[in-house]
Amino acid sequence: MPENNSTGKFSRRKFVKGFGATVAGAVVLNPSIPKITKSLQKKIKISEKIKLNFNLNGKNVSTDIYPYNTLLEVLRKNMRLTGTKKTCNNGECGGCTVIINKQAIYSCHILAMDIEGKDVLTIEGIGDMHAGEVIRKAFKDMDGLQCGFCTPGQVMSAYALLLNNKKPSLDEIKTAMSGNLCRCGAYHNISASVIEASNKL
Amino acid sequence: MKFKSYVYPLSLSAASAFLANKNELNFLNAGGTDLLGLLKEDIIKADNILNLKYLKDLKYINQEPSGELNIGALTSISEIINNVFIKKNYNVLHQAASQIASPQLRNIGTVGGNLCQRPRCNYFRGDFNCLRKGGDTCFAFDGFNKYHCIMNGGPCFIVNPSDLAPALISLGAFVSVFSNGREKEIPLQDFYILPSANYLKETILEKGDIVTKIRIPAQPRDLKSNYIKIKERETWDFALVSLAASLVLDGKKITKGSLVFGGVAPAPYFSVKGNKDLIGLDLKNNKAIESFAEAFVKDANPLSMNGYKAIMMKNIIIKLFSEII
Ligand SMILES: Cc1cc2nc3c(=O)[nH]c(=O)nc-3n(C[C@H](O)[C@H](O)[C@H](O)COP(=O)(O)OP(=O)(O)OC[C@H]3O[C@@H](n4cnc5c(N)ncnc54)[C@H](O)[C@@H]3O)c2cc1C
Ligand code: SF4
Ligand code: FES
Ligand code: FES
Repeated sequence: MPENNSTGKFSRRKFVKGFGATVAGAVVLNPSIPKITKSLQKKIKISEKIKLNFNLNGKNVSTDIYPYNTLLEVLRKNMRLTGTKKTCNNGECGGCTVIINKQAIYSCHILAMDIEGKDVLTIEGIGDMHAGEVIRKAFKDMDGLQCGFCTPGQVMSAYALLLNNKKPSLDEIKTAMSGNLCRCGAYHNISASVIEASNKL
Repeated sequence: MKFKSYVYPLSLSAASAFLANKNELNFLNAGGTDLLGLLKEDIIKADNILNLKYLKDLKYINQEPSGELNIGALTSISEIINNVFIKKNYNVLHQAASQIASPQLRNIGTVGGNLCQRPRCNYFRGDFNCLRKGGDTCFAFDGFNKYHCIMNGGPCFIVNPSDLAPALISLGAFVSVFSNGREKEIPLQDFYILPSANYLKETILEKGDIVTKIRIPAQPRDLKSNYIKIKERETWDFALVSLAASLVLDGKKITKGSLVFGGVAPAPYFSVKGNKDLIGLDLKNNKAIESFAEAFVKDANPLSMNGYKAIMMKNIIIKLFSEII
């Protein structure tokens, strides 16, 4: 692989660095199965507030939640991160897509309790990172949006794809982006944006 | 969402004991992709939700030297799709998993949850106290029944929504259930029950039972398998009709095989006679295939709006045979 020469060509180190920053500071031992903290080893009443600890955009955070809160509610209300959109609230549109332990998921369709100890990455968290910047620019350059409402979710799915597959084929792009609905029908340009981003990374 | 409390059981037996409590309605949360839908829409009212996600012993795909494959109940759908052995040897399972819901749901939805998910009947999911919810009427029978069953229906007419179930049954898979402190294994095809036997539940699971494992016996080396799913839109959609096929061919002749349908009956649908008639079928002989497919849909008993499914069933058999050779 050629090293970075500031032409925007693919550079492995730059790519890894771009994505790497997200997990810095995480305390998770085994990313898929976090430790159950003492406070969770009991029956938690629905009326009872409980402290949730997780890694949000590279920082360890803790916040008080109710057991019925979805991750989306916690992101938007507790953490005041409103880039993640509440659209269908039912796992059927992709507007609320975030990345947990390197995988895209719908934040509206998972209980916040279930992300204890995990790494959560939102649209706000990727803005400052190289890969996030490249994807954002690609969406702008390739006109990958119309009204823009679905865009944070689209960008997160694109990010998750490129995180795990640096040179996806068009079919792989279509599959990876298939869980994100766009009412404006900007699909063609969304695919083009992801291709552009993968070329630039 | 209505539930009283959230519980983290630290072992399978603790979870099972909790679940078995006669005075409470407790539910397992595996991936939660179906459970949260049920809770959000108030279709189920729960006392406790038990988070299964931390039981790490249930998350694995193990290939045994004997050739059999064991899959833990908490394995995600994405893990099935990405497994190289499955992709290479069990195309039917790879294809079925690849067509479930959407990438985001596949990343957290589990195999166990997929097999135990509740029906998608629009009345069941809506604000209707139908038979399956303890009422006394099946609203689909005289109502909107486009997505309902054409085989084995009555008094309730749901279809089994799982894509993995037909694929796994075509491979002769077994399911292990933790029940009363021990594990028992049964053929997956016996896991599902018809509404005529009990219209209040879809599986044999009793209170306290937990699915722990799927076992796929060693398959013939030259197995040819595929899964075709017909749906109205590409993503998020359940099958109108789907077909899982696991076959062994000698040239163009089928020597062994199994066809299992999704979307046509309250449980994954297969026909013992149909699978017997498969043997010796010549895939070059269009006439023979046509009459074979015809025989398969002979038992169909469509409702007012779903006659199309019988035609689809016939055509999907022909399509699958033409693609597998
Ligand atoms: C928009 C949308 C589209 C979908 N599309 C499809 C599709 O195309 N094909 C398809 O097959 N499915 C589909 N699903 C259904 C389902 O969400 C997934 O199939 C998923 O695999 C279910 O797994 P889960 O772990 O999330 O289940 P959960 O929601 O955790 O569980 C489902 C049910 O099974 C019970 N349960 C879970 N694990 C066990 C266990 N080990 N033992 C006993 N009981 C258990 C739970 O208590 C619950 O009642 C879709 C769902 C949504 C929301
Ligand atoms: S088909 Fe079954 S679930 Fe649907 S309305 Fe009839 S009884 Fe209820
Ligand atoms: S808001 Fe979560 S998928 Fe639509
Ligand atoms: S750009 Fe408007 S919904 Fe996608």
